[in-house]
Amino acid sequence: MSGTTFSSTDLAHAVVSEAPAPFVPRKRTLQIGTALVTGMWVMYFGGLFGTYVSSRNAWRDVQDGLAAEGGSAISWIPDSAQVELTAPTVMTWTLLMSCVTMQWAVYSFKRSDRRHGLLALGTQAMFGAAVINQVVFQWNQLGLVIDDTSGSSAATLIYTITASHVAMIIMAMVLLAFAAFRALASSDTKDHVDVVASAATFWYAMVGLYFVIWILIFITK
Amino acid sequence: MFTPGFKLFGGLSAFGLIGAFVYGLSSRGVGGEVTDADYFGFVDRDAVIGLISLGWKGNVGGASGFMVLIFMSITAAFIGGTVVAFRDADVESVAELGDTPSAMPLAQRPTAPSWWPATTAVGVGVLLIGLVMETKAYWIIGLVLLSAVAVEWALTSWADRSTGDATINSALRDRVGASFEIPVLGLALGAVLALSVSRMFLWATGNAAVLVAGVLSVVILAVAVLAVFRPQIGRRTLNAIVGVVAVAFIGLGVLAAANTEHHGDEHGEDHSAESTVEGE
Repeated sequence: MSGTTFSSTDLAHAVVSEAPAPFVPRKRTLQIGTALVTGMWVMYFGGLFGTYVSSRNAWRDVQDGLAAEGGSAISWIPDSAQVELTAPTVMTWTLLMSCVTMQWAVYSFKRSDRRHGLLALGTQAMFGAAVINQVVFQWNQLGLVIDDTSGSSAATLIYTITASHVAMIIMAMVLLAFAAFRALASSDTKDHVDVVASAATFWYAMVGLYFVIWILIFITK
Repeated sequence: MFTPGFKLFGGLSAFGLIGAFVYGLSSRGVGGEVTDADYFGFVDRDAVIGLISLGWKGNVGGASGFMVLIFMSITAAFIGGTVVAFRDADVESVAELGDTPSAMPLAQRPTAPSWWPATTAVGVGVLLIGLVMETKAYWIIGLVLLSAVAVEWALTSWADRSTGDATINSALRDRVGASFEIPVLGLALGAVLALSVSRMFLWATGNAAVLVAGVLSVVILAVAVLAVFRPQIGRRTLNAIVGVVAVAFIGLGVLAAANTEHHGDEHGEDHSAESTVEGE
């Protein structure tokens, strides 16, 4: 570059070898950020669950009053809907199994075992895709009509809660893809334990929330 | 032992838990809502069982407030656990993770402003609107935007950490990105322009189409002649002229498409009227 003037962003003359070393990012920033985002999701679901239970209680009280006066009570979830426990239970078990593979990924990253780390992340993504597949199957099976004329807001709330959970799964899978990308691009997966640990935190919260959905919507109905 | 962050969030968690129980007891009434508070509900066995079992058995009073307070408690406990595990990110704790455990690692200098977070928000919005309104074009545009952001943001993030020199990082990013950005953007712009011109031709009929084609050709030729015979014009000025012409073409194409659809609807109505008559 001696004696010649180049533009500061000249593509052909960016001399990487003479550049100062990059800053080493401080650890844990990502984990703290993920914890805050996870907290946001948990609070969001807390609000949804509160609304669901409150609406369900209010509906049942009104219907009990109607039944006491000799009228015909309408159930919270319309009778035309087919609420079966099989799919939600399979999903719960799938998600519980995925906690093991998630920890497997963290374990492998910590020990610089790229092959097993990627294998674990791949298995994890498969579990996530399987759960989304089951949710879609269940939506079809339920047959809930969102503009139900009975006045019950069950369909709206059930779709909101389950779709929000699917959004959370998708976000968790994006985090997994991010961790896998880092593992592929890096010489040592140990440097990226914070990424996979953050993904694991978010994943466990997602599993815990599905457990509540399972009990609240499908067990207690 | 316990960091200030933990004390803050631990206190908030305890507040949420106690608040949930107090709220659950005091809001017990008709329908479990806050309409008929029973402040002596705590003597009721059903109330205590309801609160302890988080509503599995018995009554928790106003369910909405109870659930929100319980989840606030869980969330605060989770964040409190996280900050105590990381020792509130104090200097010694963070330094231990670095290559030189005795010194705090330097913070990265601010990088150039990035459009990708804002573009992500636009992409998600367009995607959701497309899904809700069942408009295929919208959600495809949303998906394309998000895919582009995924690639570009990852590239920017990689380049920002390549060296300690922001200028070289920017050049590195351009060196890698330009290899596919310029061809893809060029193709996309060409396709949009071709589509816009085709809409104008569809809108115009007969000699009008010939006239439109002639005017467009003259405009393109004029810009090209300007570029050749006035080389002293700066690159930015020429880019601006080409940009204005391209935007004008696209705008006219959109207008023409809107008017063509309108005409098409009218023709459609006529056809349906004719077929009804024929059917009779």
